[in-house]
Formats: sequence, C-alpha cells, structure tokens
Amino acid sequence: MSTKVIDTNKEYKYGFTTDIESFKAPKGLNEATIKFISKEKKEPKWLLDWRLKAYKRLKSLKEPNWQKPKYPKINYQDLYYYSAPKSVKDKPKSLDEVDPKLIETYKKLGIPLDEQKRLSGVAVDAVFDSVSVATTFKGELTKKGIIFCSISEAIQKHPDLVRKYLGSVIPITDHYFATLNSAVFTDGSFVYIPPNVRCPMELSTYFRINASQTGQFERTLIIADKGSYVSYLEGCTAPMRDENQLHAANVELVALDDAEIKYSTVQNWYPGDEQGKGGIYNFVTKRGACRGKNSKISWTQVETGSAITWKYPSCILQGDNSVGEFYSIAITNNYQKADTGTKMIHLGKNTKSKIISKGISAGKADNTYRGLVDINKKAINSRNYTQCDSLLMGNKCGAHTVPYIKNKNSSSTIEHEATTSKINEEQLFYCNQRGLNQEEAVSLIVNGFCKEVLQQLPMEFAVEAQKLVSISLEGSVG
Amino acid sequence: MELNFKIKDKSDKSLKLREANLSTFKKKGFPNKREEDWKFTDLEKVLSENFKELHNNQLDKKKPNVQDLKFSHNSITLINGKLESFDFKSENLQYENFFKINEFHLDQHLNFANELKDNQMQNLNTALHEGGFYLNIKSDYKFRYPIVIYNYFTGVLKNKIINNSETITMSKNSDATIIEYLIDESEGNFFNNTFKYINLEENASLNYYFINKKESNNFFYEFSKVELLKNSNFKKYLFSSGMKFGKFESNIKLNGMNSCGEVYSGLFLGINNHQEIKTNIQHLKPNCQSHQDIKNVLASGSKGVFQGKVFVDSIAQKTNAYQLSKGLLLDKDSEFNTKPELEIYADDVKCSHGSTSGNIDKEALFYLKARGIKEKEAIKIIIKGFLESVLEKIKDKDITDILLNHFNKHIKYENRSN
Repeated sequence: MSTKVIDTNKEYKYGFTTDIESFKAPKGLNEATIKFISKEKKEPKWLLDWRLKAYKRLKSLKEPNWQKPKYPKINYQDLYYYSAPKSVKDKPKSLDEVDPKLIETYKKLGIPLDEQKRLSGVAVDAVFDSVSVATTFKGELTKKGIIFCSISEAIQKHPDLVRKYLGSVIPITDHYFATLNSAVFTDGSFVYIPPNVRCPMELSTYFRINASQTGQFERTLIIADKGSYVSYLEGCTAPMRDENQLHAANVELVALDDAEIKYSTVQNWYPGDEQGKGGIYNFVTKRGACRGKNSKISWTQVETGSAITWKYPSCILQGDNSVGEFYSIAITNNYQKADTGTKMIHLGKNTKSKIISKGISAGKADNTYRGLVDINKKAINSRNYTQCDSLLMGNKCGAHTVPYIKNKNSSSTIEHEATTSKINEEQLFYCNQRGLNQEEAVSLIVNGFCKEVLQQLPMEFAVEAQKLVSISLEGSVG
Repeated sequence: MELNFKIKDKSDKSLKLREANLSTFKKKGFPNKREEDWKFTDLEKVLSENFKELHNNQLDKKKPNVQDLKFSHNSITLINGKLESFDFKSENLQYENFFKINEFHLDQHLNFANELKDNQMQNLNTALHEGGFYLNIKSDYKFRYPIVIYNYFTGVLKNKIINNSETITMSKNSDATIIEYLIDESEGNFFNNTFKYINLEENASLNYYFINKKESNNFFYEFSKVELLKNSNFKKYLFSSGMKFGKFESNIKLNGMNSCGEVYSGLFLGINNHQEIKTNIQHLKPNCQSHQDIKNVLASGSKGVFQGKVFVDSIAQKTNAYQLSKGLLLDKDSEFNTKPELEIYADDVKCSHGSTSGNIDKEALFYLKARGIKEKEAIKIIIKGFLESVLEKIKDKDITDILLNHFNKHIKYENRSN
C-alpha cells in the first residue's frame, strides 16, 4: 500500500461545551453524597437503603484489572456524583420553558426534540448530564399503556415496577463498576411495555456528558411484558475536553414470555486526541435476561468513540426456546482501546445465540473481542454460532480475540470462527482502478466488512452509523 | 493433602537453587482456577481430591515388561522418569560422532529454567528434579529411523511425585523423529511433573509424537518449551487413549524467519478423564507459519479442555497462523471447554481459528444406517473418521499404522444414552 499523508487535524464533530451553570453535589464518594443524591431526587427510603447497601458492598470490592486496556488510577473521591443543569431545577412544563442553550445543544447534535422531529417518528428521552429534560411522544405511548420516562420519574410514579425489576439482572453484588453505579446512579431511562403490545415507534435516548469532571452513572431498565416488542436506540456524543471522564452505566433488560427487545447503540464519545490525551472511559454493564419462554434479546452496537471502551452486553437465556443475539462493530483509531464482546449464558432448553463481531483497529489502537458462550448441562438442544472478524490497518495497532467456550452437554452445538487480516489488496486495487481514491476505497471496503452488523440497525441509525464508520477511520490509511 | 517434599541430597551443588525454588513453590502452592492459565483445570483441587499425601521419596526400581514396537527404530528407555538405557544400533553408525546423550542433571537446564521462573510447576520441578535425559543431535545428521522413548512407570508409586525433564537440541540441518511411548504399569497413584526444553537451530526439523499405550489412572503435567530458529520445523502430535488427568502445555517460539510450528492432537477420553491441551505459539519473526488441529472425543463424563493462543509480534509480518479445535461429545455428562485466543500486532497477516463442539452429526449417522450399518458400528466409523483426519499429514507409514491400530483399540463406544 502506498503511503499517503492525510490531514489528521479533523475536529471532533461534537466537540463543544455548552455554557450552563451546573448544580453539583460536593465532590467525593461517601454516604453523604449518596444521601444527597437520594434526597435531591426525592427517592423513597427503600431505594436509599438499596443504594447504601450497594455502597457497603462496594467498599469490600476491588477494581478489576484483568482487562487488556490499562488506565490510570481513578480517584473516586475527586469526582462529582451529581450535577444537574440549574435551569432544570424547576421542572419545565413544555419545551418553551427549557433553557434555550440546551435546545441548541440538541439541535447541534441533531436530536429530534421539537415539531419537525415528530415526522421522523422518534420519541426522545434526552438526558443532559444527569436529569431528564424533556420527553416527547408521551401521549401516543401512554395510549398503548407504554411507560417511557426517566428512571427518576418511574421511581416516583411506578415504584412497584421499579422495585420489582431494578437490580434483578445486575444485582448490587455484581462487579465493581456495576455496584458503583447502583450506589450513585443519577438518572436514565425506564421503559415498560405491557403484555401483547408492539411498541409503535423506536424509543430513543441521547446521552450527553457535559459538566466537567462528572462521572455519569445512568441506569436504564427496560421491561418487555408477555408477548410485547420494543426497539430501543441509544446514541452518544460528548464534548471535547482534556480530562478523562468515567462513564459507568448499567443497563438492565427483562424479556418475559414471547417478548422481544432490540437494543441498539451508536457510541461516539470523545475518543481523546491524536496523542491519546483525554477521552471518555466507557465502562458499561449491559445485561439482558430472557426470562420467559420464546423470548428474545438482541444487542447491536457500533462503538467508535471513547478512549477506552470496556463492555460486554450479555444475555442470560433462562426461558426455554429463548434467543440471544449480539452484533457489534468496534472501531479504534489513534490511541483508543476497546475490550468488548458478549456473554451468552444458556440455561433453558432449546436456547439459541448468535454473535457477530467486527473489530477494526487502526493507528496505535488496541481492539479486543472477549466473549463467553456457556451452555449449561440442562440447556439441551442449544445452539451457538459465533463469528469474530478483525481488520488491522498498520503495524502499530493490535487486534485480539479471547473467546471462552464451554459446552457442558452433548445435545448442544457450538460453532466459533475468527479471522484476523488486513484489507485485501486486490479489493483496494479494484476500487482504485475504478477511480476511487485510497480513502474512499477503504471506507467502501470497511463498510462492506461491517455490513452484517449495520443491517441490524434501525434505519435512523444505520445511516448515521455508516457515516461514523468512515469518519472514525479518516486519516488512518497509509 | 499433605506435602512431604524434601531435598534429600545435601551435597548437591545445586542445593541452594533447589531450596530457593522449593520455598517459592511453597509460597504459591499448586495452581488453581483463579489463575487464568488454569481456569478450566483446577490442579490444586484435582490433586487434593485424589491424593491424601504427595512425597518425593526414592523408591526401588522394578524392571518393566518390555514392550517393543515392531519396526526398525532407535530407543531410549526411561523408568519412572529416569534414563535407564539407550540403543542406537539400528542407525548402524558410530553414533557418538553424530549425537550425544546422557543422564540429565539439574545444572544443565538452568538456562531454560530461568525463563520460566514464574511458573510454580517449574519451581517444583527444579526443587525436586530427579533426572531425565539430554540429547544433542549434531549438525547435518539426519536420522534414518525414528527414536522411540519408552517411558515406563513401574512398581508401587503410591502418592509419589516424579519431577523430571528432557532437553533436546537439534543442531543445524539435523532431522529426527521422536516417538514418546508412555507405558504405565505402576500400582498406586502418582503425579508426574515433567519439563521439556527443545531447541531447533537453523534448518533443523523435529517430529515429536506422544502416544500412551493404554489408559492410565494417573496424573500427568507436561510443559514443553520449544524455540525455533530460521527455516526450522517442529511438529508435535499428541495421541492419548485417556489418562485420569493430563495437561500438556506447548510454548512454541518462532524465533527465526520461515520457521514453522505445528501441533496436532487426537484424543479419546473415557470415564472421568480430564485432559487439557494448552498451546502458546509466538510469532516473533516475519514469514513464519503455525498450524494447530485439535480433535477431542469425549465420552463417559470426561472433560476436555483446549486453550490455544497465537501471538503475533508487530514485526512478524506475513504470518500465517491457523487453529482448529473440535469436540465430539458423546454423552450428556461430558464437557468440552475451549479458549482459542489471538493476540495480533502485525497487519499483513492471515490468522484464523475455528472451534466447534457438539454431538455426532445425525445426518451422517442416518446415511450410514440407511446403508445397512448397525448404529453402534456407524458411530464407531464416524468417531474414527473424526480422529483420523489428524493423521492425514503424517507421511511415515510405520507411525500411521501404530496410530490407526491405537485408535481401533481405544474407540470403545458403549451405551449411548439418547
């Protein structure tokens, strides 16, 4: 491949900070902070107790260190655990009451929040830092009995549902970051789809980290009751800044009998600059439980941002005949590091899972697929198919595959394949010959490489994701 | 489990080294599943469940029943891990001119051992080292006949731990085939902890076969450290008819251009067997190749593990690495766990792995039954076909014959539960 110098000074598209005075809790992780958060959010006592229990547990836990990307020690006492844009304190009743600067931020991000967005058929629960600002399309959803609101609102209005399911997939006794989230989570989304309802639109949330030095600890809980269906979109952008920011969200999905949840993520947080300075630490715990018979959970993710991405969206296939799917594209460039994959725990009979993972590594980045397929003794006639492909661009980056495969019964079948290679020279030559320059050709080939995953995304996301794939690799062709 | 490990010979010049290693081992203890390399095989648990005590006392030697392979070969005989005798008459040469063999002493393996000083099994091996052999094949010598290592375990070896090692150096342009033939006719249970250090200089070639004659009720751990220089070639074949516990680690360093390392295995595991194959193939120079093909048949509650790693350094461009692991599970109590790992830092490479596990293909079974073959026979044919695919690359007919015979004897397939 010929060496070509490309201008690498492309600005991060979403790199800006909105100048809004933030309302913050004092720095530091202690019981007082947790009580402050709980009081500020007017939470019932059981939740405060739950948080404190998690905090107690946290004190006995150690940060894990088995992962591939290492990061400097985080000083948890030096973080703010709660920050709300001040203007939100007196809950806005309509969009007009929302701080115009916030609205402008969302406009820059292209979030469909006002009238014109109604046409695109997307209901948005936008989280600006930690407090939900506005929610649209509520009426239409309410008619069907669907609850789609911030988790704080759900705690006030639907405490029984929250109490029943919160922590039932990711218990407070889980690993370090999940437990940290349980202790200090501030806001997030809550979705409940009643029995036999097919959610008529894609539910979508844009998260945005804004206030400096604020770790974001969202908590999302989605429950699909018997025979229901929901597709949920999560997209992320973050402003440009120098300090590393921690993001430790928990996402819990529960699918009951015959229910289906489709969860799609496009993650485009600030990856740090070309020298590897700054960027977000994305340590997220995502887990879905296929609790009912014939239920299905499908994770799709396009991970292009963050300095470090460290997450394994998992499926616990408890119900007989349940299905788990995981489609992933992870792109790392410059000094980015990703350690991502999935866990498929087969417990029920006739359970099926499918894993398609595409990793692309460029610059000086490291990209790891780490996954677990565990078919238990009782999960008879289960099946798994896994495909992990990695693409390397340049000899300063790394691509790694670490699958753990456990088959504990003879009636189940597991198939796993993985390949690692560089972009096919012949394909590049073919494109070049037809007048595409090197960069266009690479973009085209990479998009083809990712096609299987991109196809899984809902329309609105697929277009954005395709662009993201190309943007993320700009300047990496040499 | 009580550990009675004593360093007997106080006059040994390596006494200090032994003592230091023993105290390191005592600090760490036997590896357990909390260690990533032992995730699927908890040695501490396995040993404490099966041994009330482990000791390294010297025991009286008992002559084995000699089991000769029926083709022309050279031989090295080991009894309970120690070099007993060797015979290179077949070669029909003044062998001293072409290679050197002697009882292996501890101080000879220090260079190798030092690299593995973080491995507690190596610490244990050094501390309680009892013997083994050292074989140096001189430049340009190509063996006409294979060397068979008769590895006997005889006598009462109750609660005994045997720590031994072997070192094989293949000088430039040399060529050899080694067949390690394990014959366990001992009484009582023992644990064998063995380390192998194999070096291949430029253009050298070594084929190393491991076969155990019959199912063994004992516990084996083997660690092979192999280093290859330019244009050299190392092939390892592991065929086991089952052992109560076995873990075979191969650490292969491709440290010269155009070198090639291969690992093949066909295992048939029976009642409550637990066997692990672990490989770590490191591509450190450009244009190297590696190939791994692991086939496990698991019956009667046996557990098979494969942990295979391919590492490609950033300078190791044009690497070609392939790895395949397949588990055939015959009944519901058997288990196959794998971790095929790739760690790649160079871009112009072709690296891939595949791993499958499952029961006998119903369609294949139907096909055979439709042609009048009884189910039991049909299953046997399928299992044989599955295992024999590993033999395809072996050119030596004598060896293929032993292995085919070996498979025929050991595929005992009974009582299919479903």
